[in-house]
Amino acid sequence: MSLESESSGSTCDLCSGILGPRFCLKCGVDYRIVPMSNDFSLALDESDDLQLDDVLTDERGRKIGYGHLKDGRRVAACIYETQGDYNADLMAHSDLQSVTLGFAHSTDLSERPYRLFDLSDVLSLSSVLSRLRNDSHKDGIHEQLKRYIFPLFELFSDLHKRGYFLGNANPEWFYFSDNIGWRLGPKAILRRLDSETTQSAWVDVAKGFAAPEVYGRCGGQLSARSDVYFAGMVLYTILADVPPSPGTGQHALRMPPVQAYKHDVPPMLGAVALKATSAHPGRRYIDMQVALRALRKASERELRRLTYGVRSLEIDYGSEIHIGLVKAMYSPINQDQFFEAFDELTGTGLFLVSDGVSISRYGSGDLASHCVKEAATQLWNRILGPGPQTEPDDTLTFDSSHDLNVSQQKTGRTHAERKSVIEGMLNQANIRIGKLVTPMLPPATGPLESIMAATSVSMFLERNQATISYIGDSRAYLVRDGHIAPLTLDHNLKTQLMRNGHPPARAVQAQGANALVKCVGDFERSDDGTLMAVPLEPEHVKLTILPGDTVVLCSDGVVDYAGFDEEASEEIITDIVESAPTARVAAFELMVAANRGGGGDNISCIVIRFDELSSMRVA
Amino acid sequence: MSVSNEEQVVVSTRLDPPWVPIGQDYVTVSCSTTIRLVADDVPPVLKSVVKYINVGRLNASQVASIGQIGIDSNAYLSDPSMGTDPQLSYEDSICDAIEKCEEWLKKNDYEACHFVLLIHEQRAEDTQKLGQLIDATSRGQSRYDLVGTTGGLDLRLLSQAALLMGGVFVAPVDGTVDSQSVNARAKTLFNQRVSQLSVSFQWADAVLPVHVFSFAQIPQFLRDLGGESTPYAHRFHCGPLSEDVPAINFVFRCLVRRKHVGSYLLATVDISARSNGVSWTKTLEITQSASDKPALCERADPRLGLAVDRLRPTLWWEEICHAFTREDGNHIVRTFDKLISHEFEHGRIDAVTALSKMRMEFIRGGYFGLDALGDLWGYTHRACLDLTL
Repeated sequence: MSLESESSGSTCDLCSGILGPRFCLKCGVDYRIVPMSNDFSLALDESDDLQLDDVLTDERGRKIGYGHLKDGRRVAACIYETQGDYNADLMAHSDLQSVTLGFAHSTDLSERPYRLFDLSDVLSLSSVLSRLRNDSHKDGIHEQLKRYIFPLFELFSDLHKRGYFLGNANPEWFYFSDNIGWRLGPKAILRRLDSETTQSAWVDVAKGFAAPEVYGRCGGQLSARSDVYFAGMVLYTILADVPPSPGTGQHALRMPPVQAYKHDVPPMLGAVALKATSAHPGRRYIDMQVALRALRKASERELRRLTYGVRSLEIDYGSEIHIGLVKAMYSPINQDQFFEAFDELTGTGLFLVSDGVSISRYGSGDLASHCVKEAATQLWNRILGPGPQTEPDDTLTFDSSHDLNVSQQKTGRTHAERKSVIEGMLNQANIRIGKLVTPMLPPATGPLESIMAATSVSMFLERNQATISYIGDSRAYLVRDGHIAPLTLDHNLKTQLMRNGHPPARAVQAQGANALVKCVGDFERSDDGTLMAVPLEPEHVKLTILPGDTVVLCSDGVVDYAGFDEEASEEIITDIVESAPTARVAAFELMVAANRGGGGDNISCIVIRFDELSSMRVA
Repeated sequence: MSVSNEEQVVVSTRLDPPWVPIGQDYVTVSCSTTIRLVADDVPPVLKSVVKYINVGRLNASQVASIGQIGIDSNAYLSDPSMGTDPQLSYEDSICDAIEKCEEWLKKNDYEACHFVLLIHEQRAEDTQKLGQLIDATSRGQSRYDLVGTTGGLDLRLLSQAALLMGGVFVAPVDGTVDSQSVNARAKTLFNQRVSQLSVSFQWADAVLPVHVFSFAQIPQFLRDLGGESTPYAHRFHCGPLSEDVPAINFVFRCLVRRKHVGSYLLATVDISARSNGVSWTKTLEITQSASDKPALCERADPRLGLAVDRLRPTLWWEEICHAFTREDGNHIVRTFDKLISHEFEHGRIDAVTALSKMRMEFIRGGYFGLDALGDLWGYTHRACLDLTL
């Protein structure tokens, strides 16, 4: 069939293309569109009709519209084709009356079976989320959890306990008021957990809240875990204070750590949100009862963290470094470095992992990471040592603008002081890298490229007060209670794009998505062509350590290779850290896992476990 | 949308998303076209001629495995000069086999026949000549299936050749013939209800087609159109349909951008086939609505979504083949990662383990050969044999 031959000669109003007998040959618009009617009149009884607007038919064939009763109440009506459809709808079952807003239904005399839902004085979940995002005086995160999230999780938990689930839940299905908590509205579709899920030609999905399986991804089987995804996404949006990203479920993408949007989110709450919103159903909580328990536990831990105060803890740490079995085949030098030191007397510790950037024209990654390690060594010597080194290395001499400001033997620094100390250390490493590469650079004034660089992730510990500082894409994790919470964000292009508001689905496809945007080794040229170190801007996380916490610092060689994807690696890290008898064994097993998974990059990690001081130590 | 006709065939389409939102961004749309026999009104079995021909010499183990399929000796297109056992008669190359089949057609004055080429060993093919022969056969009514009976074959060449000649490619399993698939295919060939099926797609100008897949007995990645507007109709030979294989599905993905509310033409589908003793053609216009109502635009077709998701590995297999040809190991490893994640998402942990091992062996050993491509086929194509819509 040739479209050209059927041209009618007139032009399209939309695109000025040539019209065929039915379609525009350019944009394809159909000129026989039948307008849709959205109004509907429902006969409530012989004398009363309810005028409904915004009427749409849902995937079950129910017509749902909104109107006002004579007494002024705003109601929604759910209208069924037949009495059989009405009876088959689980929402109409008497044992579920307490979880819905339904208050009236059709009688035998009614023309069509229907159910009415009272929407007076209630807010939909969408409205609640929107209000929370726009409210500058909202409650703290724990108050929001108590008011909105726990009751929502309890509603889901209750449904799962009774053998029901929603599957493709939508924020428009839930209504809230302080008096009644969360209830299901007219659009909700309930399914039985023990029954086969049947799918029509289409389903209504809530973009951003719908799990990948709602779109047919990951096996396409709806289950209680789909509800876990939805509830997790509600938790995520409240914690992160951002609207959900529409493409993550559709493309089965993992959400970025909540801290990408809001830096002060309690880490264990972020971990629960991340686990609940895993793209793969098998990695989520099995149902909402388990998710609710995990959220309660995480909330209790984080509340305890707020009030725990400054205490001394028992510390067990271990580290491991390996070149990587495959990496060694084509690059014989390990470009990772680590530094670990802990003074039991003062409870002060400095732990650091640095990963040299492989490709550099001036200098090399191993030299860059060595500079970071050396700066850490110098810092530690100043913290606990007898004084300045007897043979100072002139390339590491502290310059006045980046003075470490470290008082010897001082403890009880504030988080700001610890940040300043670490920033000074990293800037010193940066200056040293500059001094080392200056003789190699051509005398040009062009852009600076391919200068050696390194990442750094460190933990400066004083008793149980820790400051985790990071620049680059090395990672720090907090592991406890079977959960793993990322404490750092990768300073790469894709994470930066996400933090700037780009949807994750687009950010991961950006050209050079994994390229570092921050690292130690950042320079500019002055007007006379000399190299100037740019003051580094590492990020910092303040953490009050609780007994039972484990912190893992590692290079990307662990995360990239321990499992076949990032989530699998994090599961492996959790399993290893929680099952190993000591921190040293855990570090060794992490190295083994990364090598077993490929060993395509240098591997370094430090595992630091914290526990209550034993009674003997306290005495 | 569905169309039925007196030829006892129903054509239906599905769209994901069913409604596209209006805006300035391109939206990815998946569309399936299913050609299905009417369940309670199946057309009668057509008279069919199916001929087998050997390409390459059989070794002892192949003789045994081919024997299990139970091909009638009269079904072989054998050369009497080679002896009484038709299994021992063989052609040196696929080109020779096609030429022989075409000669046989002319000699016996057949219009159409279904040939099954049993590929026992891979020999260097004159690709230019093969291309010319395929071009010639695609203009005729005959169809060719290719069946690999040994490991180390160039599956990409064979699958492409079978696709272009309107047949299917049955890949070997563990270095031997996949007798189950060959038997199932033979059953379909001998019980054809709709034959000489041919489907062409012409996308509307404003539609940017990306990929085309098909699946019935065996999933196939048909074409990569690169997301660029094409003025040409793309025709694919397929089939036949039988009671065992009552439907064939075509799935294409495309990009559309709709700035105004309305109903738009997506593609025009021309279907031609023969059933009930008559040849027929049918034209279907696939339209899709663009809307500004969020409630409509937030609808999805999960069944089609699942089908596309499960067909995606066949595309990755092609990508690995291309990377293999240009010796791009990095791309092979990255595609392996996608494949492993996909298998994990679908809960096939055995496949995850096996693919991870293959990936690791490739990274460590640096070797990736035709046999590895053959092994990979099992995970990319056999995993979606049970796919339905």
